[in-house]
This record gives sequence, C-alpha cells and structure tokens, in this order.
Amino acid sequence: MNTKTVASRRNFLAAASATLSAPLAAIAVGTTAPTARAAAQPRDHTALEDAERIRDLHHAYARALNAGDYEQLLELFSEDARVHFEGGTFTGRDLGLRRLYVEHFAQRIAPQAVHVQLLGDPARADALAVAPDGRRAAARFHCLVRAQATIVSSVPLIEMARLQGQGVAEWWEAGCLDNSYVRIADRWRIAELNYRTLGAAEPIGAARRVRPELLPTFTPTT
Amino acid sequence: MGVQKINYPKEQMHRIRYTKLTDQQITAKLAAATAGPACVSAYTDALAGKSLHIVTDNSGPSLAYSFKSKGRQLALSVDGGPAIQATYGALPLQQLVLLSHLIPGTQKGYQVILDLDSHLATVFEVWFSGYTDNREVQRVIHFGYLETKGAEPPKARHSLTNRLEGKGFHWKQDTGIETLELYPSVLYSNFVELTRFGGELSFCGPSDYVKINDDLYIYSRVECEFSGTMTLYALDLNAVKQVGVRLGFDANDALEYYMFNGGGEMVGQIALFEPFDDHGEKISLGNRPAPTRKGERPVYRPLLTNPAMSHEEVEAACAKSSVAFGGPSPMAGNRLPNSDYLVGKELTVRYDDGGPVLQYKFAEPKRLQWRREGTSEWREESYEAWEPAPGVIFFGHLLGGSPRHDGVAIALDFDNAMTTCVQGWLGTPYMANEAARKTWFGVIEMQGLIPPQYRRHRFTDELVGRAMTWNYSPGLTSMHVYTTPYSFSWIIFLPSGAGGLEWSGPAQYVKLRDDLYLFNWLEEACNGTLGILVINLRTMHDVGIGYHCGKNGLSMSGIGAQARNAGAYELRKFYGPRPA
Repeated sequence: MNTKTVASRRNFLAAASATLSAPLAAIAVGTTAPTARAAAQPRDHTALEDAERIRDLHHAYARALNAGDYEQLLELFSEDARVHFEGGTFTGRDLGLRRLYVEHFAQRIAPQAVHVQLLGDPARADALAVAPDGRRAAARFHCLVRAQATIVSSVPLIEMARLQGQGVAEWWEAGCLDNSYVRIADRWRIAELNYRTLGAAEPIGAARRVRPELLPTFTPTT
Repeated sequence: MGVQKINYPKEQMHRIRYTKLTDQQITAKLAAATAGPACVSAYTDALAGKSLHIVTDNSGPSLAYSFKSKGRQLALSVDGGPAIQATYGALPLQQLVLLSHLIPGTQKGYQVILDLDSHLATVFEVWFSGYTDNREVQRVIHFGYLETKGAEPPKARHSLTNRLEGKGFHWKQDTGIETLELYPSVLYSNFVELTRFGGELSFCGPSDYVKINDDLYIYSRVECEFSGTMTLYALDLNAVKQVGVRLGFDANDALEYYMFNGGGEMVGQIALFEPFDDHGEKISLGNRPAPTRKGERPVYRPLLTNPAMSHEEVEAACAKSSVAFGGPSPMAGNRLPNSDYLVGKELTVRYDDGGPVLQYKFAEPKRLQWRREGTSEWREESYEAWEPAPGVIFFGHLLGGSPRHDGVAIALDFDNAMTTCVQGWLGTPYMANEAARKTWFGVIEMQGLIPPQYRRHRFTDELVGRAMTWNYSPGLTSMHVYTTPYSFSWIIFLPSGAGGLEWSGPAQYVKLRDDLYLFNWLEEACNGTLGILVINLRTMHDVGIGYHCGKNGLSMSGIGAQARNAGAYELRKFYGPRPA
C-alpha cells in the first residue's frame, strides 16, 4: 500500500519537473513514509535533511508572501527561476519574478498583498522528492489561500470604497504548488514554481467575488 | 427695483478657492479668539464658580477646570500642568452643558459636552495646522467622566453610535442661519446651506455621531476640502433643539468662532442597512490601515486622487484614446440587456431653443450613423441602447469630430414622440477635464410618429428627498440621496452595511413619465464625470452612461444597477419655487 502510494507520487513528481534528470527519492510529507524510504535508499539520511530544508524553504516562501515581504521572497528563488501563476509565466528572478511579486502583488493593494495568507494544509496529499545526487528536488504542496485583489477602476465609488478599506475582492482558494528546487552553494532555492487553483469559495459575510475582468491583470512585458 | 431675498454666493462652496493659510497666519487670526466665542444668545452661568476635573479614557487628557464666579474666565490645567487662563462660552441643553474655549497663544482648544446628571463627559480636542491644509480643523474625541471626590468613577461612557444614522433635520440657529442636515452615514453627513449658500447644492463632510442617551446626542462635522470649518452641536431629538459651536475660517479667511442655540424639525428618517443588533459603537473600516496621525479618519479628497488636467493634457489623452462602450465596468454589472429596438430605424431628434438637430440611421445593434441637419456627411459611431421602460429607449454615443469631444445621452419616448438629450462636453472654466452639460427637450421625427407641438419632458423635483440604494456589481453598492432640486449625494456602505464615505455633485432631474426619470449629475471638483441615468421606480432598476476624461483618455461607458427603496426626507418645501 505504502509502496504504491510512493510510486504514484514519484510518477507525478517526475512528470511535474522535467528538469530532473535522475530518479528521485520520494518522501511523503507528514506521514510515516520518510522512515520507510530511509531504509530503502542509500542517500536517505541526507535526503531527509534536504527534505526538511526544502520544507523550511517552502514555509519561508509562505511567510514572505503573507508578510508582503517580496524582496525577501525573491531571495528564495534561483536566478533563472520560473513561476507559473494564473496563466502567466514569469522568468528570471530579477525580471519576471520581480514583475510578478514586487510590481503586481505588492503594488495592487498597499499595504496588503494580492495573496496574503498561504496556509499549509498537512491533511492533503503533499509530496517531496530529492534527487539521489542531492542537487535537485521536487515537491507538491497543497495550500489554502486567502486571496485579495483590488477592483480595477478609477470610478469615485471605488476610490471611496478603498478609503474605507474596501474596493477589494476577496475569496478563498484551495491551491497546489508543484515546485522544483535546486541546490546552489549548499543552499536550496526554488527553481520553478507552478501554482494551480483547485477550487475557490467566497468568504461568508464579505463582498462577493467580482467578475474576473475587473481584477488586476499582469503588466505586459516589453 | 426688486430686492433679492436670497444672497447667493458668487461661487458655490466647491468652487471657492479657499486660501491655503499658513501656520503663522492662523496663529495671528486666532488672536481674535482670545475673547472667547461670540454668541447672540445668553450664555449659561451653570459653570460659574465651579471646579471640575474631567478624566478621559485611553491616555486622553485630564482636564482640571476652575471657572470664575463672574464673567467667562476659566483656568485649565491639562494633565496636571500649569494653569492656563482662557475665555469660554457655555450653553445648556437639558442636563448638558456645551463648553467651548481655545487656549490662547496656541491653535488648540476644547469643545466639552458635560452631562451633569450622569457625570459623563465627551471632550473634542480640536486644533488647526494638523493637516496639509492648515485651516482644516482637526479633532480627536475623548470619552470620560467628571471626577467626584469619594465616589467611584462611573463605568458608563458616551459612545459612538449609529442611532442618528438615517435621520435628517432642518435647523435654524439663533443667528438666523438655516441648514438642512442629513445623516445617512456613520462617517459623513450631508448639509445644505439654505441661508449662506442659497440652498442650491448639498455638500458633505466627515462627521462624528456620539450617543449621550436615547434622547441626547452629539454631532460634529468638518468641512474638509472646503473651508475646513467645524460645526459641533449637542441635540435633543424629542425637542429638536441644539446648542452648538462653529470654529474655522470663512471664504474671506475671517475667523468664525461662535456658539449658537437652534431649533428646527425632523425632516425624516431613512433606512439603515446594518444588522439589527449593530448599534454602531465601533466603526469597522475593512482593510484600511490603522491611523498613524492623531485625529486621522477617512476623508474623501477627490482632487487628491483626481488632479485637474490642463487643456493640453486633455487633448493628448483624448488623442490617445476616445472610446465608447469599450470594456467592462464595475458600474455596469447589473445593467439591463442591450436593446435592438433601434436597429433598422431612421429618425431625427429635434431639440428646442436652438438645440441640436441630429439625424440617425441605426443599421446595426452597436453601430449608428449620424449627422447634423443641414450637413451631408454621415459619421459612424459606436453606441449602446437599452429599453428602461416599454417604448422608451436610452442610448448614447460620442459626437466624433467635435472640438470639445462632445457626447450625447438620449432618451427616446416613442409612445409620446418626445425626447430629451443630455449633451456633455469637456472643459469648464475650472477644469479642462471636467464635463459640462446641457439638457435639451425636443421631439422625435420618424415615419409613423406625429410629435407634440407644446408638450415636452420637463425638469422635476419629484425625486428630491428620496434615498435609494443602487447595487452595481457584486460588492459595489451605493446609496443616492436626492438632496436638492439641483444636486444629490452618494454614500458608500461600510462592510457592516452602515453608511460610509459620502460626496455630492450638481444634478438635474427630468420626468419622462410617471415613475420614470432621466437623472444626470456632474462630479465637479472631483473626477469630472458626467453621469446620465434613466431611473425606473417601478422596476427599481436603472440604466445609464458615464462620460469621463482622465489621463487614460475619454470614455463613454455603461452603468446599470438594481435599487432598493431607502425612504425619503421631506425636503421640497425648503427649496422655494418648483422647477419649471
């Protein structure tokens, strides 16, 4: 049973991270799987340490995102990292990722982020795998996201609503991050982040979600 | 030669260029306040010879007063500091005393409401030069009590409240000054200066509402973005009496510091939209960051977010983009479906008194051809049309090639062969990007229609006093209060459903049919928008057009919202002759 589960995750992770050139040591998150895998793989001891550091990296990502600390968040990525988010692909830490996080997220709802709460959900089927050479890894993290976005409009009603803390669409999302990681100078960084929305719900008592065309879009690249 | 009974000002409040007084100028002008506030009524001697110690909560000031037995002199020690001598005024209202004084040599003072029965006190600490515009009175409210030696401090306090929300009054001060004051919000209020400004337009200011008991309340407002003057009074709901104070600088920069008695009548109450058990003791402001400046509160400052554009900037913006019905708008989430009623029709709209005569061919649902009568060239424009009531079509388009970037919004009443056109254009003597408008009444000429010779749609005041909520899109709802025959106000709701920020603009009301109105407003000294709506009071739905120029260009866009009846104030009797 356990072997089948791990194999399934391995398949997914291999598919999710085309950059991984070697078989991965898969470690289920929040289950007894790490112990079982430790007995089966020669690098398991190191892989477990690596897995812990990658989970720390993921938590650091969540903390920076929630705090709106986008400069700190960028430091968690490799220079050539890519992010896939809501139909956009952002390439390069200092170019595409800066455009997404610093320009798009940070400037839309000062001082709050577009996505402000990234909550781990250990009950879901997360997975994490480290390549045997210890240089690459892939992981799937599910999350619960409280999303906010400014309503794009300059009409006075919206301006006035912003002054009293409104003019913001708000909803909850169940999301999934399929990430790959790279070790650079003995430090793990995010090489590719792929966020998918699995489902969304409106918060009770809050404004209903506005039509998607009224939410901010990414700035075009030049 | 006739004698003018109403002294209309040369400029209405939003057009007055109030001087940006310097800190030094304000200090110099406040020297006149050393004598204390003026008052045409007799002050009370209720405080004469008494000593009072007011303790306030949350690290607020401790105020130890000693009032001379004769005259209007007091000594005040703030937080145990050295005694300050000042001249005060005090007026009674039931068990309340409103005490007002400034502190000589400073730009600061206190408006204190003492409840001599409960020994509770509310202190408005007020000062000038606390904001970019020095003349704007700043305030912070401290709730507290009168210390009684040997007695336990009372646990109760006066508090913020929504119990005044929705109410409206006509007030007449002992000075002879009359106002209409409406409280459709817990953050703002609406005032019509019947005496000082002729009652043409309503204006809004950030306001405070404090409950003393079920009968007695405190109200204050600051005329932010205008003179910056504070009006504060205690009011008795049952007797409809007020005692108040006014502090600020008028349009001539003269100090206004006087106290007043007043009386009046309640002109009505409109609906509240908070949950029933919400009494408004706390005002929730959603995601707004916590205030960082003493006295900070939400204030709508439209020219901060919509700075005026120059003529050159307007021309450049219009050259960059002039679009009719180009994309989605949060103001149009609940608009009516487009109508194809006009498709295939050819008609002329002929407006009276030298108004435009426009010929139309409607070949497609969203493309029309038009030309002015007497010209040969047809122009093509994008348009949208709706049918807000059976047989009434409302449509609009830009008048391409117009040097003022004109646009028209036209109501066609096919049952009566009558039409009304609101023609908008860019540029007023005040702002190049501000829309101006002219409303034309006329007839439809079309095969099969015989237009009336004399009958026309007409201006009306039938909506004046009414309040209606308008839900434009999910999460975007406002309330209109049709405040005067020539203006209206709009209010944004707080997350709780309470009224929040509010603003006003000049408006016109035209009756198309029973329960069907063509309403337009101008966001003057604001973002310059001209809005035109057809309001159907039977379906409680509107449809409309916004005409706006900003830095991104000129746009004409759809508006549509569903309404709820929020009640009405009885206001029309205060505005003199009815519109023709």
